[in-house]
Amino acid sequence: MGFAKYQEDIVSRYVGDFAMRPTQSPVSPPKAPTPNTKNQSDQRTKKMSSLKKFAVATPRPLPVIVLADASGSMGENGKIEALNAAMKDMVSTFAKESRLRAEIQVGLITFGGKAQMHLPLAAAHSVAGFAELKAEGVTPMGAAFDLARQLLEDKDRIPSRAYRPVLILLSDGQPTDDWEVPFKALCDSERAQKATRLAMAIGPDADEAMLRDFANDAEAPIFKAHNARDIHRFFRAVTMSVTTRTASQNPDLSTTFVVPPPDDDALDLDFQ
Amino acid sequence: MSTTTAEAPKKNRTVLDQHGQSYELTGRIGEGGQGIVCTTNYPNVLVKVARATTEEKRASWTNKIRALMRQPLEGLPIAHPLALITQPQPGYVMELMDGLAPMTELMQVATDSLMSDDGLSGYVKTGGLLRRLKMLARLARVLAQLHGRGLAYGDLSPANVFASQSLEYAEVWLIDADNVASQSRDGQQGVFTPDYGAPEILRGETGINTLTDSWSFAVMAYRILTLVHPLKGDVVLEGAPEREEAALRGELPWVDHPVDRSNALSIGLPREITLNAPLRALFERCFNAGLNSPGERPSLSEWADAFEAATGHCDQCESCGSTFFYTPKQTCPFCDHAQDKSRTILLQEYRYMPPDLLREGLTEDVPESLIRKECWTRTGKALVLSVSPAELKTLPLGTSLYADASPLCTVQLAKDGLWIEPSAGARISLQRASDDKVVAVARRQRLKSESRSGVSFWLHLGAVEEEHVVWRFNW
Repeated sequence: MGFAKYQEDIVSRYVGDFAMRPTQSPVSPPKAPTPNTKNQSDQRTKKMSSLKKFAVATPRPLPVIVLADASGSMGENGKIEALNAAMKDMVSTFAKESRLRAEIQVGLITFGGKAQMHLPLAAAHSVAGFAELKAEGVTPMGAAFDLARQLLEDKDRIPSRAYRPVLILLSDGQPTDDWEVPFKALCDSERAQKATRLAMAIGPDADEAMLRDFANDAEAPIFKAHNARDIHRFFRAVTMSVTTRTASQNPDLSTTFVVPPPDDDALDLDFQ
Repeated sequence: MSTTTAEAPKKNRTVLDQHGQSYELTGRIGEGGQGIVCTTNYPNVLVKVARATTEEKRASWTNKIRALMRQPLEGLPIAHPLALITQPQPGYVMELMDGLAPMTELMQVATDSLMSDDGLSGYVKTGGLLRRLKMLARLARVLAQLHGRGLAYGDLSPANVFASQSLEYAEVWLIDADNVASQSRDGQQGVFTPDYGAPEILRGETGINTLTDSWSFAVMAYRILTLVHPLKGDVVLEGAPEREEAALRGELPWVDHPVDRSNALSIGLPREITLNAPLRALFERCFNAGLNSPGERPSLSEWADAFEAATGHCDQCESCGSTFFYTPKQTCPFCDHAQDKSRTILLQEYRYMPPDLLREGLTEDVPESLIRKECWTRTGKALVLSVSPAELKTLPLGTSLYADASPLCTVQLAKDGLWIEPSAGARISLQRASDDKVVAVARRQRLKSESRSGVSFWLHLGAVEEEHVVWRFNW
């Protein structure tokens, strides 16, 4: 060991070099001070668990159920294509949303020829994709209402801890089955009453009176779509009203469901 | 009728600011009830476009932003309006660095990982406990400075706080300064983010103020550290959404209430390992007494002090890489690994008052033994020294002036020993408790690893004849 290195070691000086003691010394420190355990918990070792034992809360489901007209008439003027694309956009936006507070779930009931659960209610981020809707057949809306009511009342599929659902009904024509009783049963069911219900009338032939009865937001009358682009705008507004439920809220600014006018739609941004 | 999806690619939208500068909007980074934040063709320049639907609301929003541009936000890491966007919709231009992500992302990664088979790896790979403490310390300090300027932030939530994606940094930036308000504007704005709004805002009793900021900060901090919400106990999580609303309005006790266990929580990361005692005490004050008495909540500078102090109490596990609060047992609470005890030493702060100074003004009958005992005062501050070097200053970590305090020396624990390096002009000496021997440390020197035997040492940061700081440790 060289001399310089020897000098670096303070302890070695204690041993050999008394000459370096300063002339004035501080008072002897208190002996055997208690170790600082005050800031520490002593029960932690008992509670200690292996990594896998930690659990976190599963997010509360927020069901969004779409009842979509897929009857033959939807095949005209690109309506069904617009609906497919708009649904896909909505699901992918939902999939990207934070799941810390709510898990947005999407279900799609279609009525075209027959009523069916086209996309069973599932977490948006787990939906890999769904079969494109095809416009065919009659408009069995009554049967679709029954399916929707069964889904809403099924506590296995929608547990009681779920946030109040969002129900969306869109149609371009008149129901072809016996719809009044199922419609009333759906609208009167406890969960559907709590739900946010939005409706879109596509084109001039839609049953606007019935859609108006379905929608329950006094400030958001039914939305009338005149073209395929309007279908997109409606779904954008639906997406926004669902996602902003968990985002910042400001009572000063209206958060009611409003579809922005097309010419003034600065927020309707498509990025390249 | 045509579909939009089949159309040829559209051009990006361009907006104009009040000076005629144009910005091409290139992507969307955030969206809320009040507007949408977009990236632009300029690096680090963002544009927020308002979601105001009527002429009247646009005018009022523009006025608000104009007022905000006059607020004293300089020097704080808050992205604030630099210019107003006038065409085609009202908005504003702000600056924000690249490579940042909202803190929701870090929470989501950690939560998803625990819900899958990956367990805690998501928590660790987003920086673990220490980085979280550092970010929260920084956030609390920024908010404390904002409050010190007479302003409240307003809509504090992890979506509005951005942190560097690189794990080496724990800096934070706040975006969405729209709601920053002077406290005199109480009751005007009830803006909040669900889960983070103070109960009195949810009940519609007040608008935003520094006390609601304090609430939102505490909820955010608790969630970031423990991954659970302080008001959502088992009964709330299992119950209907109405019960959650009631809990958020302050109608149920908080999950760690010391006596009332009616809303206790059985999940989340154990508070015993994610919070130290001072932090637990602050959370208890905020969520128990402060639940419905906003004045009881800790101030942001109290939070900042506690979080800064906590950043000095962490050790890193050699096995799993987690950072954790030091205990004398030196066992990693995340994986049960027993640490090599020589890797870490605990330093405790004392203040030393020379007996001559103490004697001043005292009568002759005060016994010498009492004076000698009173020379030493333990401050309760501690510092855990492991792999990274630590700077010892005139003030310890966890005091608001620490950042500006002058450094006295740097200590570093290396394989070959404990290195002590005095700062320029500082008078440092080391005293060995066993025999009271004292040596001056005039340059970078070390205590050898070989000589380590558990003896107490006292590191004096100052002239022995003056009052000064002393750090005690065992070597």
